[in-house]
Amino acid sequence: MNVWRALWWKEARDHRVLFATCALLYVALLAGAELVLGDGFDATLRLGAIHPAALLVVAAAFAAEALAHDAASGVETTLMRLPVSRWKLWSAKASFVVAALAGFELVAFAAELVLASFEPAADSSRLTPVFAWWLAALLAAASLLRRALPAALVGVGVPALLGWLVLGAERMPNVDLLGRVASASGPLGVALALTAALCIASVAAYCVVRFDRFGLRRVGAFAAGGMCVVAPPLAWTFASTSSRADLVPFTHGVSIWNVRPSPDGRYVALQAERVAKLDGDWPTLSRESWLSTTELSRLEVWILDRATGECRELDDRWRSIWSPSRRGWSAREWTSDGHLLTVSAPGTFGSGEYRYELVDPRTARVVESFGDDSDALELAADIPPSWYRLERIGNHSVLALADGSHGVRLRDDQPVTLSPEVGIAFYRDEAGALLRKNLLDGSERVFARFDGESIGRPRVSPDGRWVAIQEREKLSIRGARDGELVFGPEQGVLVEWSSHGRLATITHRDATFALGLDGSRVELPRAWPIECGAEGFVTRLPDRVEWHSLDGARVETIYAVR
Amino acid sequence: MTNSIEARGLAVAFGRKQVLCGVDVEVPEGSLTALLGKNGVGKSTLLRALGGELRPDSGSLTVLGLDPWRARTELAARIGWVDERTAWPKWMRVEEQWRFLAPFHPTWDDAEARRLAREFHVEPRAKLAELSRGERAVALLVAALAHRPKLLLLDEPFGGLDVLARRRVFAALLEHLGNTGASALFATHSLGDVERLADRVVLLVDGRVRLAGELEGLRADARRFAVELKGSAADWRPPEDARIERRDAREAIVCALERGADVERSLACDARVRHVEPLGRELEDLLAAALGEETRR
Repeated sequence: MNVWRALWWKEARDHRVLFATCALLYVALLAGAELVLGDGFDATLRLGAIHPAALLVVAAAFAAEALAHDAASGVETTLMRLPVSRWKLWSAKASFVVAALAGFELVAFAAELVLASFEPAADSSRLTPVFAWWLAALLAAASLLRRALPAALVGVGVPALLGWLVLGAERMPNVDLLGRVASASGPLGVALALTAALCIASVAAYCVVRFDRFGLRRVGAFAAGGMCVVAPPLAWTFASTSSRADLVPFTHGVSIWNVRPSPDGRYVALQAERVAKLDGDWPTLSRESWLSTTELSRLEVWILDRATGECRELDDRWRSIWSPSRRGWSAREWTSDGHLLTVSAPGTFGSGEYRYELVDPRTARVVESFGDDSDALELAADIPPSWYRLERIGNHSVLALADGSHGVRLRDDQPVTLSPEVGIAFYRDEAGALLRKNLLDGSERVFARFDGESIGRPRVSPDGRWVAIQEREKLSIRGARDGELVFGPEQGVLVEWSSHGRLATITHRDATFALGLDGSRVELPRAWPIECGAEGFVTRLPDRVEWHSLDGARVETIYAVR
Repeated sequence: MTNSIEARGLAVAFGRKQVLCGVDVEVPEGSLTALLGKNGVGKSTLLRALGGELRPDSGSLTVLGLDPWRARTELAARIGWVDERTAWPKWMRVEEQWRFLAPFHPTWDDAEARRLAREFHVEPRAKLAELSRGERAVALLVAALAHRPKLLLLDEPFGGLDVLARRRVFAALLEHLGNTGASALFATHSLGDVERLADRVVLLVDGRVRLAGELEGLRADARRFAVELKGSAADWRPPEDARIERRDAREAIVCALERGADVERSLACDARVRHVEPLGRELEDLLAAALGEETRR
């Protein structure tokens, strides 16, 4: 047995009763709650509330016991007389605390696996990465702490580190830690300062030897060590909520859709549909939770400036309440010069009316506001390429350019799209054929026949060169003049064109891609992951076009889930 | 002969309280030195400074050729420290204590530990916290001797030992010192232990060394006298180098730790002294007289 093993053995013998007690109490608590609460005791409650609280208590207890118990009992004096350096003594204690917590996590993990086995698979899918992250972090900390750190700082560094781990783990599903650190220097500074102050207080509490006889040093070490665990997440949370966050956590709990790059490629407008945070976590949306989260959930429109990387949410008044009817602001179209973005929002609830606003992407603030659809169209003189009007006449709709010079009569249920910039519209006739209509000269021809198959709304690029057609089993992007170009995957794909027509963003489930046509490579700063299903098929993309994920990496295949 | 311990002008204060004031101590290699003094006089403080646990405020200190404060770890490997006030975990058994200590001491001899335990009747399976005071002291001594230290620092090591155990321990201690050439400094209140065990003595009074030297020299120099005076003893003053141990109406007991013969001659020439009678030269009585305050009857 070497010195390290001897010190560890002593610590393990000192604290094995405490460890067993903590583990048993935790398991008993979970088992009891499971029996009493039944289905109501789910992973969200366990991992979101009980486990962090238990871990805080256990961490504080172990840290305080390891730091202060020997001092209070007089064993510390005996240890100090051994031929071993003080930093080694403290490092052994500190690393033991970390290892003990890792052991506690293993127990918790096992308990969680047992409980999760009675629940739907979706609930347990989060467990492995959460606990794996925890364990990896704890073990990494242990390996780090076993090297040369000053003795006192090692002693208080453990609870401080654990505090940050709590912070990271609690935010793990939503975490973009590097992004947060980069963009939230204010909260980070507050949390770091508070942690440093607590570290100093811990050292001071521990170093006041003369208070030993009253047991105050132990109390001080316990309190300060515990606060080191609790304070950083609290400070972070407090600081984050008390100031406006500049970072957009478009991750778990938020769906991104309606991604619209500006014609010059500088801005990207996108829409975030956000479920309200409850008790610091994103709840799982269900029929029951729907109503409870109504008042806090919202739709947001954000504008990302690719040049600066800054992402601005539209003015607070644009933050709509998310209702069961999913009313909310949505990004619509960019003007062709990319200087303005139109957004729309429903008017009075139930009226069916919409209001339109024009937003300056540089400031994300409104520059013009219109009462309804018709009024908005009157502004077409300022932004001629992007506007059209759809008028209802009886059971039919008339599609026309803004100046009313050309129009086409459509059936009410026919999906239609058009490229007002070049005056081309696509729509389906009664036989189901997709027609291409030149609005300028009135010519019309059959673009494709689908023979009874249902297709989604065709979406034409503004320059009229491409049209995306969603069929039953696939997405086609075809040259508007030259026929089929690309076969993509199945249904559920949303295509948005940029105003200049050279860029399409394709959203499929949780994955969004930017597709550059004409060989243009498009790079956007964020990447949304492709959701890979266990069963499905892989579509090999053709070589003629480049597909890029939003982080700029080239995409070779798209995984589609049946 | 080189010294295991050399302290010059050692001073230690706790806040405003000056515990050691310019202490000079020498412990020659191979010697067994007793450290005497009343409670609170600074014996334990001196031992803590020697072990590197306290940093002296001033003075120079060398233990086994090392600065204890700077080389505490290195020194601790060569010191056996027995202090009945040191605590061990309540769960720890004697043999577990050996297992725990062995990695810290490269010279640890497990066979020697078991031999000493047998000799001292220490049960290896016994828990340290459940031992009597005497048993615990012996167990700690076993642990201190098993790594064959070059210097033993013993702080009240024999309290609670019965007569037989005390004899066994003394014998083993002397045998260990004889075999290894190690030195020992033990703080004690038991003058009998000093007489039976020590070859040198250091006497601390009020944080200073009143007397330091070999016991044989002390025996040769020290004297005690019963002095009968012609008049009242209340205002009588003894000769230089002597102090009054007890004073009655017309009689006094006088003690001289050094130059006893000179003191005897001075008393004989004192006009106020009617009669001088030499008392026994028991070392215990001499040390008790040196430590004690003057009493009146």
